[in-house]
Amino acid sequence: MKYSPAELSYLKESLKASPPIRPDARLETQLRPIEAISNILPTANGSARIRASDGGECIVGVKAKVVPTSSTSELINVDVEISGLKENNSLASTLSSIFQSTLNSSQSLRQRLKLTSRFSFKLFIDVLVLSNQSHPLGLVSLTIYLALLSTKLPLLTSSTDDSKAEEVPVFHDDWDQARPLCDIPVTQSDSSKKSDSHWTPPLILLMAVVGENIFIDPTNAEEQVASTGLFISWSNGSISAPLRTLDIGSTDPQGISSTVLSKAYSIVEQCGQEISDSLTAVYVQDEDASSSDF
Amino acid sequence: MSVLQDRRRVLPPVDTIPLQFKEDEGSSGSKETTIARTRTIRPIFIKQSVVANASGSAYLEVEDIKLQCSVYGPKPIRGSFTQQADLLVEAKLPSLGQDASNDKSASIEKDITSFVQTSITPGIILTQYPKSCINIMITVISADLENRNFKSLLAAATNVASLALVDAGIALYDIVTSASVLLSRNENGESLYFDPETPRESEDIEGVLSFMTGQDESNIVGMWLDGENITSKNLTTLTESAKEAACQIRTLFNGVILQEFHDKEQEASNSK
Repeated sequence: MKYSPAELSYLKESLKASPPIRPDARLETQLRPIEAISNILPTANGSARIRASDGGECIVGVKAKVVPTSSTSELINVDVEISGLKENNSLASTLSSIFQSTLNSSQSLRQRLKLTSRFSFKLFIDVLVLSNQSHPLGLVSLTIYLALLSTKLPLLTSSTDDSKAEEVPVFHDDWDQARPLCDIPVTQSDSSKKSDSHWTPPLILLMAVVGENIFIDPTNAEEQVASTGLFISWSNGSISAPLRTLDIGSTDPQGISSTVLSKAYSIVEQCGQEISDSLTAVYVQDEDASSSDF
Repeated sequence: MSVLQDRRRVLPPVDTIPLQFKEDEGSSGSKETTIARTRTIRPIFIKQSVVANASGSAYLEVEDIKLQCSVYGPKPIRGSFTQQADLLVEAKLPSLGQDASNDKSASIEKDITSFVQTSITPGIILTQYPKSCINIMITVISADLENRNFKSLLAAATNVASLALVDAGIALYDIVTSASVLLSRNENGESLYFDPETPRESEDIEGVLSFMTGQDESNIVGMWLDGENITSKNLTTLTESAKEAACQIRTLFNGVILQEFHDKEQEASNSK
C-alpha cells in the first residue's frame, strides 16, 4: 500500500519516539498473532501452515529422499514460491538462498540426515507463500521451523555400516515407527529425560530499524519507514548465522549504529527462546491431537 | 537412457573415473599466508573510467578477484512520477566450467546483488533524481568461488560499485566502503584476520560489513555474518575491526579518487 509523505512522516515520528508507539499498539518484541497448524499434508514427511493476522499465509512441505552422500554437497534443498510472482523473482530466490545456506550450515542437521556411511537423506523443503502483505521472511521462517519439527523419517532396519560392501538402505514398513527429525519430547514421560541429541531448527527473525528503535515482525507500513531491515537467526538457544541486513522496501534507507546492532542482538536473545517454545507447543498439541484420534 | 547414447563416440566403460591430478605443493600454503597477515588488507588495484560508454565505471583487482562495474544513469524512466531514483543492481558471474550448476551461480549472483544493493542505497542521495533510474552492473571477471572466501568477494563488489558511482558523478552522502573479517576460534583462543582469503572453518565466524566511514553515527549500511554461537562480544569485535579495515580501504580510495581527478584535469588542460 502506498502512503502519503505526511502519513509516512507521522508513522516514522511515532516509531522513533521513546517509548515507541506502533500503529497496532504492539510491543517492540511482540509478533503479530498467527494461526499455526502442523502436519497438514498427508503425503509429505513434514508440513505446516501458518496464517498471519494481516492475511499472509504460507505452506511448507518437507520431503525426504535417500541419496548417496558423495553425490551431493547440499543435503537440504529449499525452494520458495511466492504466488503472483515469477519463479525467478529476486525475492523468492533470495529467500531460497537464505534458508538453504542457513539450514545447510547446521552441522547437527547434517548429522541427523546421515543414514549409513554411504547414504543420507536429502530434504526437499518446498515453501509456498500464498499471500503476503509485509516481507515474507519472518512468516516463511516460522513455517519452515514448524514443518521441520513435524518431519518424520522412516526407521532404518538395514545395517548402518556399509563401508565395506554397498548395501541399499531398507526401512521399516510401519510408519508409526518413524523417528522424528528433531527429538522434541511430546509426552510428559518423555520430557523428564532430557536427551543431548535434542535439536531445534534455526529460526530467522526479521526486524525493522527505525531511528534507535528495533521492531520485530514489522508490518508493511513499518517497513516503508525503516532505515533498514535486519535479520538474525536463533538456533538451539544461541544466536548464530546469519546476521544480515536486508532491503525490505524502505523509502529512505539509512545506516545504523553499532549500538542499534547490539540492541537487536539482545532483543533476539530475549525473545528467540520464547518464539521457538511457543511453536514447539503448537507441534506438541497437534501431535497429541493426532495420536488421540486412534 | 541407452537409446539416447551418443553413437558417434567411442564411449568409455560406465565405471570410469575422471583423471585427477595431485595438487601443486606450492598452493597448499595459502592458509599460512593468511595467518601471517592479520590486521592488514591485501593490496588492491583500482582504476576508474574503464568503460567509455557508461556514465561511470571502475575496475578492481585483489589477487584472484577481478571485478568491473559500470554505472548507467541517472536516466529518465517512463510511466508515473516517482519521488526518488530507482536503483537497480545487477551482478554477473563468468560462465564457469561445466561442473558448476546454473542454479548455484544464479544464487551467488543474487547474493552479490542483494548485498551490494543494501549497502550502496543509503549512500546515494536518491531524492536528487526524481523520475529517473540508476543502473549498476557488476561483472565478476574472475573469482575462485569454491576455495576462496566469498565474503571478501562481496566486500570487493561493494567497493567497486562505490568507485563507479563516484566516477559517474552521482550525488552521494558518503562513499561506502566494505571490508571482510574472519574471527578464528579454537582451543588456543580467538584471533582476527582482515580480508580473509580462505573460507571459515566450523568454529569460525566470518563476515562482511559496509560502512559510510565519513559519518560518526549510524554508519553501518550493510552486514552479513556467518558462523555458529555468535556472542555479543564477538559481534562488537567484528564490527569494530571491520570498521578499521573499511577505514583503511577508504583512505586508499580517497587517494586514488584525488589522483584520478588530477589526471583528468591535466588531460583537459592539455587538450585545450
